[in-house]
Amino acid sequence: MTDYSDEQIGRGDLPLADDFESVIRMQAGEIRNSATRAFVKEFNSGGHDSSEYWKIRDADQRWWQIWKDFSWLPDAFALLAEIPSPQGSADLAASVAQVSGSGELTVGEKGEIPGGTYNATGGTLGDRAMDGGASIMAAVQSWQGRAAINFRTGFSKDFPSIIRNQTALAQTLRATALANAGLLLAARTDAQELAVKAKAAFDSFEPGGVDEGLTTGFAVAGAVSTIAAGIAAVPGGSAAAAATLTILAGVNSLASLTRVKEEPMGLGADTVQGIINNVFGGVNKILQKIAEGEEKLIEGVLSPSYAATVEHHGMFVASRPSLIHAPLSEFRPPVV
Amino acid sequence: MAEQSGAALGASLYLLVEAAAHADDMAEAFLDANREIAATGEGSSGAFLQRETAGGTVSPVEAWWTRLRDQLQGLLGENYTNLSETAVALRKTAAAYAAADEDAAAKLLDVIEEYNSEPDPDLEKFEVPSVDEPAPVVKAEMPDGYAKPSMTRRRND
Repeated sequence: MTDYSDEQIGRGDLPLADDFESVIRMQAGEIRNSATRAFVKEFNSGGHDSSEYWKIRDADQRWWQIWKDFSWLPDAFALLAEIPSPQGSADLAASVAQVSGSGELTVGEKGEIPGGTYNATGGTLGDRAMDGGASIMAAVQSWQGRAAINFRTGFSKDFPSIIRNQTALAQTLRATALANAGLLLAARTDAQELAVKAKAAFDSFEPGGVDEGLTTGFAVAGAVSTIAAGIAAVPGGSAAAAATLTILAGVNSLASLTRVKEEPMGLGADTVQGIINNVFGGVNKILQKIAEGEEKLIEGVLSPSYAATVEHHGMFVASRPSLIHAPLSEFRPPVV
Repeated sequence: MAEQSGAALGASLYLLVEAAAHADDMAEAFLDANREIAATGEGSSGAFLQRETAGGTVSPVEAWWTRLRDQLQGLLGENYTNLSETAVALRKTAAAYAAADEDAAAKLLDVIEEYNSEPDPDLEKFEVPSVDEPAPVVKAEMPDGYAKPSMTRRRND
């Protein structure tokens, strides 16, 4: 018979589900119970070093004392339970879609993102502004005078690059939001697996025996590698915002970030303390890899893009046209 | 001053008014984009993993993402301002010339009225690529402004 908690923690949709946190917390309680039972089993077998040895019975006062002492086990898993839903970052990506020129983004049941494209134009800026810029140039083509020349050469002609640059910034925001969503999904996937296998490790514990077949892999480690490889592919770590477009272009699917699991580690041990150490190692591994992935996004994409916009502010914003406040003598109307 | 006067000048000035209308439309495009980017401010909460710090909980990615978002929003806002002021300047220029030439002013008004009476001027309309044309795709290339220095260096080399 499968327990309700086993059904919940084993759900395929859990990493993207709204009740992820509550299910992980529930499973953490089960892990605590299993750890207590394993510890009692080890203690009663005589393997535990105690000068006042006597057997602990199920649910007696000392059993509950051990259970209380294991309160930090749920606390540790609470860190994983509180990993935000990837949907939040995916929603952010979708909310800048109109500006970045890509289609509407939604996350599917398996974490896939349909229609993730990186078109040069599209949306509010790409279509309307690009078309408006071309129309302005056409209208003022025959306009004469110093102000007209300044307007054409110092203002209007920069429209395409200005729009591209700002679209590129929006795409950078979109790409990093997607990559962040991928990291969170990978982390939640790992957290779910670790929660399942941690309980299994305690449940299958036998004093003196080691279940070497009980291992867990880390999707979040693979996700970090994927993102890092994308960032490293940018020539010379260029700070040009337009170049960052391609950094995460390969990350067009959250599922692509969770497909590869790396660095499997064993959870089994010949002592309960050994299992505890392994489980904690797994928790720390997930948190550490999230931090590494976030660092890649900051150092490889967001920070350089920000620096580029500060350094090259003039390239991102049209310089104030000289015709504003210019004397009328500098103008000559167009000739039709 | 312009060599033109009367109807010819009025028709010419209309081009400036038309350019001003396009500038207004572009300004609106940047304003709309600005609004969309600004709206992410409400949606970013809870999208990133928070960190325990002495002063509360913050996410390092969220901080940088928000910083870049704000930067983009500022750029979009500046473009809106520039384009709006450009539209005003173009209209003022046309009006100044028209004011000095009654015939031109009358013609300009005629042209504008004629334009406004069109069933659907649709300044926002843009050319939709045919299905045979591949959609434009961003390549990993430097923006226009960045390319110039490197080209100069190559020539010097």
